[in-house]
Amino acid sequence: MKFIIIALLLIASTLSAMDYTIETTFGISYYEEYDDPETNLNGEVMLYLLDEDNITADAAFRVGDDGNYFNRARVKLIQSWWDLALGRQQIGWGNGYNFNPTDIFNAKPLGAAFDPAYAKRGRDSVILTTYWSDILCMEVIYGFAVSSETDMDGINIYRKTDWDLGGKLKTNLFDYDLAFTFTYTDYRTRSINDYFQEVLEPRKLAGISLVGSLPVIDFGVWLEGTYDIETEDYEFITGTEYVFLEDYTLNIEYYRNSSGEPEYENYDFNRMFFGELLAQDYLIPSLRYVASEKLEMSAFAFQNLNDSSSSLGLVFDYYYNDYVDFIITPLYLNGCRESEFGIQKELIGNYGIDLKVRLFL
Amino acid sequence: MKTGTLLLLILLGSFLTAETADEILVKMENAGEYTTSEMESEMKIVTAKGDETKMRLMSYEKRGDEDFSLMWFTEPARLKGTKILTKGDNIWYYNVRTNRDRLLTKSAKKGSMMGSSFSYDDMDMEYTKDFTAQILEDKKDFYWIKAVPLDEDRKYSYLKIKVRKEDFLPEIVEYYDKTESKYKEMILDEFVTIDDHPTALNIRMEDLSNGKITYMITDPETLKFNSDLNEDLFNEKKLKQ
Repeated sequence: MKFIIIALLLIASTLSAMDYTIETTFGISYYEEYDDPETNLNGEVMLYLLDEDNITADAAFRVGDDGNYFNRARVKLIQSWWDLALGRQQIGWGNGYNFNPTDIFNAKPLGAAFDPAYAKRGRDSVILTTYWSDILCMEVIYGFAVSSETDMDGINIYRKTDWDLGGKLKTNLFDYDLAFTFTYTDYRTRSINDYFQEVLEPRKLAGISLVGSLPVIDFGVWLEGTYDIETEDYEFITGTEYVFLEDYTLNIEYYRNSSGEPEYENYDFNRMFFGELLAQDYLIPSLRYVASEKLEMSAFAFQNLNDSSSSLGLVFDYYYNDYVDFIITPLYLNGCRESEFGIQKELIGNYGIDLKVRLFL
Repeated sequence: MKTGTLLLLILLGSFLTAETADEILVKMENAGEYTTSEMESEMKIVTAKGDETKMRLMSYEKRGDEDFSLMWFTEPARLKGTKILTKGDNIWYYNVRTNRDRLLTKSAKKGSMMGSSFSYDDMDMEYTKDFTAQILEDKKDFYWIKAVPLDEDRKYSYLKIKVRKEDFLPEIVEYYDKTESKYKEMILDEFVTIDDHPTALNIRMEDLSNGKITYMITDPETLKFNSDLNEDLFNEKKLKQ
């Protein structure tokens, strides 16, 4: 609490002197099996502390139901052919929309691609990027130990990664962005209450990420994948996208994870608590429509190709004005009782709706 | 000199000095003859009902063998930090919430820019590379030309452009679809000369199908031509800064 007060005082004393934005999100969720709607309120103050040619600094502090913490606190040193970013920051590797196998540092959860309010959790890290030409750069990231603990109705879920190290070489060839990655993740510990505890061995992943457009027809195409050198497991996502009639975007992604389980009878449901998918093969089609400068709509589906269960959703993002927007997401879960989305259906119901209101200052 | 001979000479002289359609396209492309530009603009979208949405952005442009542009949104708060980098036919979009830049599909160029009446294609017309043209009218102060895109996948079948003779800047651009119906109209006005370069400070694009009008209003105090813009500005390094 003291820390929060100090932070608020610091913020209040400096707000008039520097650039800032404040974003508050109020959410209500209701699903068929809920007794009552669940509410969620979070605020974030983003401070742009320094913005010079050779150095920038910014910070974002979050308060609310999701906890009170700095989501970003970063200093970036910028030179002609390199820059160095230190502190807590968002890291964004990869080209997949729904999954990024190469991004081991702060992976985004399922569904985040369709949530306009989603912002990545910051990771304490050092990022050194060197620019060898206008189309060739190399990036090295060291991620410090990170842990998280969440409580879901009495179920305590704990995760910790000791440290990560990754390197990426990125270029542009024949109008395709191409990147090669290599990452090392040290020991990972995770537990669910007292009944499940696991220590995962270090992991070495070789990765590739490619994105561009097919000639003549201009369909966007991409592939992102990793290969575990020790276990020989692989994970990849590939997709295609096309914009038509100016306002419509059709997007289809296929995701495969060889360490998943093709038979639902053998599912390891503990993985769900850690935000992992259970099966091997998924298809994720979506259609986005920009109805106007104020309204965007999307329809999407997560189809588990191994057990035929699915999650279907719509997203309505309405910008009421410069300061307020509304995000409405109805969701429908479908599948037999033992299937991935069927299990979720048993827990929360066949259908539900999320409503978020965002206020900006 | 006999009157008839004099008239013939005048006619011959005007024939020799009149531009061809291709020459007009070249002059339009080179209008102002600048290599770089930077400016701050406000984009205002007004619906048929009168609702308004405003955005502010910084724009940087570098012309050469390949044209580069960077748009950096500064307002409203929900868009702050969003950047769009265009290099030739490629568009990269930077999302500040995930700190990720991504190469978009080339078909995205046909898409609406931030829900406005402009498509990304509209913001990046290369007259000599993208069009063939014919002169429709040749008046004292302007031409009307018909410009047909070489890319048949464009939404418009052709454009009718009113081109000012004094500086070869377009004043009106009419968009015609495959049925030869006019569906969009762009009007440029408030022509000024800054650093010896003529330009239009206001651009108005009306989507005739839904009555939406988008205004791009440039702040003349921020407009600079041929400033020393480093090419570093137009790569991933600047996107993530």
